[in-house]
Amino acid sequence: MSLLLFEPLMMAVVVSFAGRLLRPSISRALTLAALGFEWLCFALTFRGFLPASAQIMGLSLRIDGLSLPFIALTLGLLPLVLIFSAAEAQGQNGEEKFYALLLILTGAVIGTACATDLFNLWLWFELMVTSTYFLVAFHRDHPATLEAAVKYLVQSALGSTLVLFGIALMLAQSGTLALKQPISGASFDIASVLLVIGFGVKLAIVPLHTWLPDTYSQAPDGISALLAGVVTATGVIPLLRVLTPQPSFAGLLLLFGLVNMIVGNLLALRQRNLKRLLAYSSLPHIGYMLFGIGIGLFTGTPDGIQSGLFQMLNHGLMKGLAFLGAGALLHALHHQSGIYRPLRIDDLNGAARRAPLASLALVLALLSLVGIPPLAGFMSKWQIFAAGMASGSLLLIFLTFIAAVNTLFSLAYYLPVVNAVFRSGDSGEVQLPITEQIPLLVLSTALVVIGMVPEALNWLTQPASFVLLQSLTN
Amino acid sequence: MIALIIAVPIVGIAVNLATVTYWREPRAGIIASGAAGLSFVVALLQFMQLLANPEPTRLALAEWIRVGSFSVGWTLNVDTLSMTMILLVTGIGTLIHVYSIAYMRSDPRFTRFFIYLNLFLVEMLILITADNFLVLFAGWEGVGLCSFLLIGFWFDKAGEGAQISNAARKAFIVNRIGDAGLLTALLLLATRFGTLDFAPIFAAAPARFNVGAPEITVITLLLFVGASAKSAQIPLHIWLPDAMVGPTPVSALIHAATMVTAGVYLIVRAHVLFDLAPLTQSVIIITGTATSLLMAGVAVSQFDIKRVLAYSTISQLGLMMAAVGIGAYTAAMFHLVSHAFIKALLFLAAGTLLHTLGTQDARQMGGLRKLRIVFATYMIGAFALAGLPPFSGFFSKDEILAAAFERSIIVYVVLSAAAFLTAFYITRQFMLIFTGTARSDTAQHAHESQPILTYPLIALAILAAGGGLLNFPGSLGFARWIGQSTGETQSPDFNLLIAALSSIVALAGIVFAYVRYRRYRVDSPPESRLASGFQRDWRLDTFYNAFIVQPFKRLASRIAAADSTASYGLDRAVVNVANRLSSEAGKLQTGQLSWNIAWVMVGLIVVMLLVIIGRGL
Repeated sequence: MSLLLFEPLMMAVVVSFAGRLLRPSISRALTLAALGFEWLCFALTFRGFLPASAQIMGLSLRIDGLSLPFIALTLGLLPLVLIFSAAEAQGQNGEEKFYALLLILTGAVIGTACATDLFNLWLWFELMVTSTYFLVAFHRDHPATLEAAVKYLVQSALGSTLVLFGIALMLAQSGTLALKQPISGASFDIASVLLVIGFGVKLAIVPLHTWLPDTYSQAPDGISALLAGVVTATGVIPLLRVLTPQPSFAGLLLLFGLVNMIVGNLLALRQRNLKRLLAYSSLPHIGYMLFGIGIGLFTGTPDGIQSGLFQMLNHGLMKGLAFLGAGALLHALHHQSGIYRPLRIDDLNGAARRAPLASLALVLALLSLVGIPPLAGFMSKWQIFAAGMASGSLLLIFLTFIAAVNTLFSLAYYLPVVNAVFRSGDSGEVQLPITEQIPLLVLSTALVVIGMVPEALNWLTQPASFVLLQSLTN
Repeated sequence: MIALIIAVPIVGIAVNLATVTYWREPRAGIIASGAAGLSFVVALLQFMQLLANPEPTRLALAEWIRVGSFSVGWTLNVDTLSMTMILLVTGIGTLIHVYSIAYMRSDPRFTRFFIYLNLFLVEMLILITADNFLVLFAGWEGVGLCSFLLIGFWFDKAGEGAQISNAARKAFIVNRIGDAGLLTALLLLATRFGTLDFAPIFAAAPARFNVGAPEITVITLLLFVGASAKSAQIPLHIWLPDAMVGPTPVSALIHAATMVTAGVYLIVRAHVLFDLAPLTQSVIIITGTATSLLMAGVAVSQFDIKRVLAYSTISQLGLMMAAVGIGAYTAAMFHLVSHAFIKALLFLAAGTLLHTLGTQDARQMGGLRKLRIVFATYMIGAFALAGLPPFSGFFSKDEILAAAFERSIIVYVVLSAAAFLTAFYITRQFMLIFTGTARSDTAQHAHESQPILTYPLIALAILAAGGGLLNFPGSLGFARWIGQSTGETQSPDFNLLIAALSSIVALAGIVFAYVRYRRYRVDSPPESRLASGFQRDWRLDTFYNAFIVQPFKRLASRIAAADSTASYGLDRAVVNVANRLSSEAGKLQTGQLSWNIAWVMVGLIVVMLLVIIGRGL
C-alpha cells in the first residue's frame, strides 16, 4: 500500500531532476515506467500480495472497495494522457515538471481514495487539486489560460476553506476525525453542508460549477481529459465516505443529479466552441453518476450504486477520448495550418476526410456519451435507468423519467458535432503523430468492448457498492 | 469440419478485403473462386460421411442471445436436406465464380464483385445450415442484402444507372414485405413455443395444434408470405424480372439457382407446420399453380433473352411451390436441384451471348449456330427445361405432375398447360437466337468465347442432362436421401401414363414453336393480341403504381404538408423554449470570478436551508 502511494510521489522528484539534469525525453520514459510499476503494485495489492493498509508517519491509509474504481480509472487514463501529451508538451518550457505533476496527481488521487480519516482525506484532496492548478496553467503565456487557472484556484480555495470549517466543526463536535462512526446533531448538519459545498465546488455541482468551462477549455487537451475523467469525479469520494449513513444524503444526491443534468444540458445546448461544449456536457454526466448512486442509496440496493460508478468509469473513458479526439483534431486542422484559436463546430467541416482516425474517435466518444448502443455509454445509462425503474418507488420512477428525457436533450448538442465532422469541407489528409493515434485507438476499442461486455468492469464497481451499502446499514 | 464450409468463404472475403489496394484482378477472382471451390470440396467430404451415416451433424458455434429462459444459439445443422442445398450452392457457386473471372474482366470494381459473391455464399450457407428460425432469418436478410448489392452493382452505368439502382431498390423493398411476414411468424412461434429452435418446435407442434387450427394457419400463411417474396410468387414476383439488370453471373447464381429457392427450402424445412394447415397448403398450391401458368405465358412474348429466363424462373418456382403445397417435398427438392442446373446453364450461356454480342435482344441475334459450345449446351438446357426425356427436367417435372395428378385433376391440367408453354417459349428463344440468318452485324461476326467462359457451361450441361439419374424411376436414391430429413418415405410411383402425356406435351410445345419461328424475320408480323397482353406482365406494375405507390406518395405529401403547419409550429415552440432557457442559463455563467464566488455562497445557503427545512419537517 505504501509502495502504491509513495512510488509516484518519489518518482515525481526523480523525474523532475532527471529532466532538469539530463533530457526531458528521459523523464518522459521514466514517468511511463513509473506508471507501469504503479500498475504492477496495484495488481499485487488487489491480489493480496501487498498489504491493503498502511500506517506511515501517523497517516492511516487503506484500500477498500470504494477506492478501486477511482484508482483503476486514474491508472488507466494517465498513461494514455501521458503518451498523447508528449507531442504537445515536447520542447515546452517546464516539460519535465509536467510529467512530475502528472505523477503527483496520480499519488494524490490514490491517497484521496484510500484515506481513512477526514483530515487526511482533505490533505490528499488538496494535493490533487494543487497539482492540477499548475497543469491547467501549463501554457502560461496565454492570458486566457492564466485567467482560467486563477478562477479555478480562487474558487477551489474557497471550497477548501469551507471544507476546513466543516472539519473543524466535526472535530469539535465528536472529538474524532475517523470516518467510521456515525454522528448526528445540529452542528453536524451544518458541518455536512459545509463539506458538501466545499467538495461540491470540485465536483462541479450546479451552481458551484462556474470554474469548470473556462478551466476545461483552456487546459492542455490531455489535462482536460484528466480533469473531466478523473479529478472531478474524485470529488465524490469524500462525500460518500462522510455522508453515506445520513438518511437525507440520497435525496440530496438525486436532487443534485437532476439539477446538474438540466442546467448542464441547457448550458451546453448553444455552445459552438467544441472544448467548451465538451466541458459543459460534463455537468449532466456528473449528474448521471450522482443520480445513479443516489438511487442505490435511496433503495439500499447495489444496482444503482454500481450503475452510477459504472457511469463514472465510462464517463472517464468517453470524455477522455472526446477531449483527446478534439485535441488531435485541433492539432490536425488548426495548428498544422498555423491557426491558433479554439476549434469551433463549424471548423470541423470535412474533418472525417482530413483526419479520419481522430474524427472516428471523437464521433465514437460523442455517440457513446449520447448513449447509443452498443457503446459503453449506453450500458451505464441504461443500467442507471433500469435501476430507477426497478426501484418501485413512484417518485424515483418519475425522476428517472426526467433523467431519461434529459439524455434526449443531449442529442441536440452532440449530433451537430457529428454532423459537422462528416460534412464536406477542405480536403487533404493530415497525418497524426503515432503518439496521438495510440491513445485514441485504445480508448475507442475500450468503449466498444465495454459496450459489448459490460460485465467486464464489475470487478471494480461491485466491491464499491458493497462498501457503501455496508456503511449505510451501520 | 462443417464449420469450414462457411469459414473458407469468410477467409476469402478477409483476404480480398485486406489486399484490395495491392492486388488487382484477376487475383481477387482467383482467391474468391478458390474459397468457393475449397468450400465445395469440404462439403463433398462431409457429404461422403453423411452418405455413410445419415444422422444429421450438429455443431454448436456460439450462443447468440440469452434473455431469461429464451435463448438462441448459432448451431450448424447439416442433414441430408441442408447438405443437398450446400452442395448446390457451393458447387454451382464455384462454377459461377470461375465464370465471373472472365465475365467481369476489367470492371473497375472487380474485387468488390468477388467480395460480394463470397459474402453471398456465406449468407446463403448460414441460411441453409441454420438450426433455428432466427439464424435462418439472419441468413435470409443477408442474402437479400447481397442480392440488393449485386443487382445494383452497375449503379453508375452511363444511361442506365437510375434504372439499375431502382431495380435494386425494388427488389429490396418487395422483399421487405415478405420479411415482415416472416418476422411476424417468427415472433408468433417464439411466443407460442418459447424457443425458435427447429427441433423442439417441430416435435411439439403436432401435439399442440390440431390440424387446421387457426393459429397454425396464420403462422404458416405468414411464413408463406416470406417465402413467396423471396421465391418471387404472384403477386410479389415483380422484382425478379427487373433484377436482370444485374451482372449475368449474379442472375444465374442468385436469381435463378440458389437464393430464390430459399422460399421453397423454408417450406420444406418447416413442412411439419405446413402439414398441420391444409388451408395454407391450398393457398400455396393455388399461388404456385397460377404463378407457373401466368409467368410462363409472359415468357412467351419477351424478346429480351434474360427476361425470358427470368419469367421462366418464376414459372418454375411456381411449379416447385405447387409441389410443396401438395406435400410432394421430395419432388420439389428434386426439381429445385435440376432447375438449378438448367437455369444456371441457360443464364451463363445467355451471359456469353451478351458478352460477345453486347445485346440481350433476341431480335438482334439469329444464326448463332456457329458458336458451337453455346449452341450445344443451350440446346441441352432448353430440352431439359422443356421436360423432354431423358434430360433431368423431365424426371423432376414428371414427379411433380404425378403428385399433382393424385391431388387434383385441375392442378394437373394447369401445370401441364404451363409445361406446354415452357416448352414453347424456350424453343422459341432457342430458335430466335441460333437458327435462321444473322439479323445484325455483331451477330454476323460473333465468334466462340474463351474457354473460361465455356467450360462452366459444359460442366453444367452435363449436370442438366444427367441430373435425372439422381432420382431415376425405381432407384429412389434421392427420395430416400431427402426422406431422411423430411420423413417422407415414398415419392409417387412412376406413372407411365403421366410420363407419356407430359412427354407429348413437351414435344408438342417444341414442335409448335419450331413451326412458328422457323422462318422468323425482324419484319415478321407482330405477336398475337393475347401475346402482347402477356408481354406487359399483366400490367401488375402499373396496378401497384396506381393503387399503392401513388396513393402512398399522396398520403406522404399530405402528411408532410400537415406537418409543416401544425406540428412544425409545435417543434418550433419546443426549440424556442429550449433556446430561451439555454440563453437564460447562460447568464448564470458570467465568467466573472466575483459572481462565481457569489454562486458558491448561494449554493451554500440553499443547501443549508434545505437541510434545515428537512430537519424541521
